[in-house]
Amino acid sequence: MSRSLRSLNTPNKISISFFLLSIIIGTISALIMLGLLLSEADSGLNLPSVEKIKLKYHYPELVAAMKTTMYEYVADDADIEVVANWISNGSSEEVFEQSIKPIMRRDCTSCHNPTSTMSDAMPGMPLTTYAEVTKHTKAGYSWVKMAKQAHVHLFGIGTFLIIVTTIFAFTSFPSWIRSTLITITWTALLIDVLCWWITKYYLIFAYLIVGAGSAMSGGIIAMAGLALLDCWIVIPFLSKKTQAVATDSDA
Amino acid sequence: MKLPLTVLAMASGACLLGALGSCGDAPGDTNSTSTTPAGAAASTDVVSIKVDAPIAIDAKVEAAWDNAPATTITVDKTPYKPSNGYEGMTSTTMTMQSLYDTENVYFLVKVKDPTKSLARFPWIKQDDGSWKQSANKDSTGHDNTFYEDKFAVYWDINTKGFAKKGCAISCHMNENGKVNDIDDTSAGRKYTNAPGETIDMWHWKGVRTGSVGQVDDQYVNNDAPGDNKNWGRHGDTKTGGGYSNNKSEDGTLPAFMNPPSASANTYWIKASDKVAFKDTFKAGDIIPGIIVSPFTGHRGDISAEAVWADGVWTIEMQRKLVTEGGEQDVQFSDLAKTYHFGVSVFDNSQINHVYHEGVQTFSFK
Ligand code: HEC
Repeated sequence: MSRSLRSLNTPNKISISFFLLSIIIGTISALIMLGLLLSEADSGLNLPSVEKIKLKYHYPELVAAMKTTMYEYVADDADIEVVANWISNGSSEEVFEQSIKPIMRRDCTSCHNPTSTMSDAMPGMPLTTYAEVTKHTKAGYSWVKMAKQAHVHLFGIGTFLIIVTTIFAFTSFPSWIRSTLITITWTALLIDVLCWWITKYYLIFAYLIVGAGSAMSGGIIAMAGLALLDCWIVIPFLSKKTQAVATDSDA
Repeated sequence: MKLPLTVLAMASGACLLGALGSCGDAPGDTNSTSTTPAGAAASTDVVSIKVDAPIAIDAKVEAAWDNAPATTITVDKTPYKPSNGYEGMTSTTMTMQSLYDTENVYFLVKVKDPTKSLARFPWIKQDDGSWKQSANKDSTGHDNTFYEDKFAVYWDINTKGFAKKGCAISCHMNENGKVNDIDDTSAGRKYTNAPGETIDMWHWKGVRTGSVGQVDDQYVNNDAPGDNKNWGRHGDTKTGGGYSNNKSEDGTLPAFMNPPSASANTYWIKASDKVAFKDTFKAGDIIPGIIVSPFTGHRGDISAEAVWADGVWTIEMQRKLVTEGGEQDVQFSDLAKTYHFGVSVFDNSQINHVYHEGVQTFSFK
């Protein structure tokens, strides 16, 4: 008799089905969230913009802010490049005094200074001195922030991924399908997290973050969906093949 | 049973495809400086409508104004928190309309302000017979208690960045007791960022210029502070007129008063009416703190009449499309051009004002 989730008893199938359904809905929700955080939209399921991913993982906070949340205060777009170049050339104090401070002073310090009582002031995050500004010039996520997010991410996703992949491993689909999907999903998880770091230094890996993230969530949804179906029905194309094989070996 | 599961399978498939599709998204130049103006403030358009007959500047809203679309502008930001408290508005709305003819441009502004404030530094006779000029200045030396309502427009002339950031481009707040590295007690200073950059500043001062039918025509340049105590802020060139503090030489008494017979205003004395101060008053009586007369010369280029009723200032203004004030004025010489401006409202305050972020646009139709 072929191995299949269908052969489990009904209470077991019900509980596994609800678990898988939760995983599917959870993954879609995560995609919605990421899509919203990493695009211009504020509702619906969106594709993340690579530009936003670059901002998050590659650009220093100061440059990322000037391109997004603080963009409305930037008088001259060319100044964003001036600041970015200053940082990539080592954030020297000399260049700061000469060309960065005037930009901060014109566009930023009315709010970002310790004595500001202006509407929307940020006295707690001053940008008036070299020391204050260089607190926000590290590329992408700080190591602490990155390490924190990476371990929470890996432990969290790893825990439910082992359950999903184990369930999927017990389905009646051909072995190569099971192995491929399981491998792709686990590999994508690792590549995704690895790329957060690499993107700090090599911008091009931002695309791999999107790719790996998509492959991972696609893999999870596919495995959970297929396993869910395998609990209850014979999938015409895939399950049939398995059964044929099973019949052969029985003969 | 079968149908919902098929739908589910299709949905997950679609998600997978959709997500993978994003891999190929925007394969742009990796060094691209292209920006996403996520937070860029929306600008508002005021469109001026052509009229055949001149508009009377009388703060009466004649029928011609019905043809001019009203643009609503919310002003809800303030530059500082006065040290001795602040009772003025921190947010309000206003509408702006415009008309023009072959010679002049007209503006009708309605500002919501629940309090009509005209008691600018009035003299009050004290119980002991002495006189005291009322004031309640904050740590920056500015008053928000005994002042006047004001309204201001900044017009970009040639200032880089104004078209995006509006008035903020010339706003330099005090940082740790300094502005532009110079010790300063003010809350902040106005000046442009480069020599030659100028902003036209229309400053309707309810008492000091409103009383004589004018907007104070001023401008902002790059002086920071230069030899100007107001840093970048200057009055346009004048040949005469203006306002002055009504104060005796030793500063203890009013110098002038309204003639007793005149149905005079409590809070100002027209220069043409003034008579020498003679103390025949009783405790609690008020003598105006300011002597006013219309500017002559370019500082008087803008005429205005205003009326306050039911919590709204209605201000009607007129200026020549093109003045002889040269560099000190925005010149509406090209009716096809888009002009940039910003507005702010002063509620009984000397410098604390409610403003908007970003810029407004103005064009002729
Ligand atoms: C009108 C006041 C104001 C001005 C002007 C301003 N900021 Fe900010 N800034 C804020 C506030 C408020 C926050 C925190 C809330 C937020 O993120 O919007 C902030 C947050 C930030 C952050 C933290 C990260 C982020 O995006 O929230 C950075 C970095 C920053 N600003 C840099 C700048 C730079 C650089 C400029 C000049 C180009 C500037 N700011 C101009 C008010 C201002």
